[in-house]
Amino acid sequence: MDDDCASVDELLSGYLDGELTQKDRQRVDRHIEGCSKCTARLRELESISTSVGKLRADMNQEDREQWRKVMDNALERTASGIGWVLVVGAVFVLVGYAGYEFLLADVEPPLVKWAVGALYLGLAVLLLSVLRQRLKARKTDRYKDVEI
Amino acid sequence: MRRAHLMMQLEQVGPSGHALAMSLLGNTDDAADVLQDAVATVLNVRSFDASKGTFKAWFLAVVRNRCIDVMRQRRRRPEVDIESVDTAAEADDDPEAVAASDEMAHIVKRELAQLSPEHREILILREFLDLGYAEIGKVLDVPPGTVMSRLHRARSALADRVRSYG
Repeated sequence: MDDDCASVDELLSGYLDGELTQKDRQRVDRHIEGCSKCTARLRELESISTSVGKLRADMNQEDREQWRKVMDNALERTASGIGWVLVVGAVFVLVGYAGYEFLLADVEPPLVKWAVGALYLGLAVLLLSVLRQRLKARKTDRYKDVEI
Repeated sequence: MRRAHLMMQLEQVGPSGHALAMSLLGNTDDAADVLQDAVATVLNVRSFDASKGTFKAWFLAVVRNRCIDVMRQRRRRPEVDIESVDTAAEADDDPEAVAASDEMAHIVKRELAQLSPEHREILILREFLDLGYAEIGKVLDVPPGTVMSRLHRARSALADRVRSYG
């Protein structure tokens, strides 16, 4: 391959894709008119491009199906998240109200009141502990440093 | 409202993201994980900055970065599952031509899977996803001139491999 062929070769992909400037395109046109080697090379690259492009139809179908699954999973997770928020919120309200009523009520013996109070406190400590672990896990998320 | 708009845009570009993730990671589970992460990232941004290029190019860049992260963390060579995809033969073609076309498609699929991730991804972006050089440059974060030379090297590498079959 002489120097002219080598420099034109670098432009052939851009020529095929219509991405060359008018000047470069004309240069390639002029060269391949008189160079059978570069013409053959252009046909070879075109054939490769076409062959890879032919795989696209089936890939597209598979990609659409897989994408649908991903989105369905995302919607399921969102719905599940909303459900959990409602359930947990309702439980908090009901438990809080029950605790408030219990504190105001006259309960005999008083030990029962202390025991229920300890139960509430224990549950609150456990909840805070889980929240702390979640926050820690979030801070060490392996994807947090990935640039967008 | 913003989320609904982003979801609409995601619906259009999602399959392209899957194609890119598959080409880099090689299996559907990893690709699905990457896509879920990418979707979460996109939905968490306040707004898409159009000065950075098209939404498609930006989303593909997010997917690509996630793929690179997974590849680095798992420290394994990506294997492409592209072999499992059959190429549809055109029923009204000459049987011999169809057989030859199938054989060629099979060879191209096999050799495409053997290319380096750098070459494979740029061929996927151009030939599968029909991105122009400027958009590919946005996805790969390189100038259009580099896109042209890299794409040329990728096609040449694939042509060399295919040529070896005679």
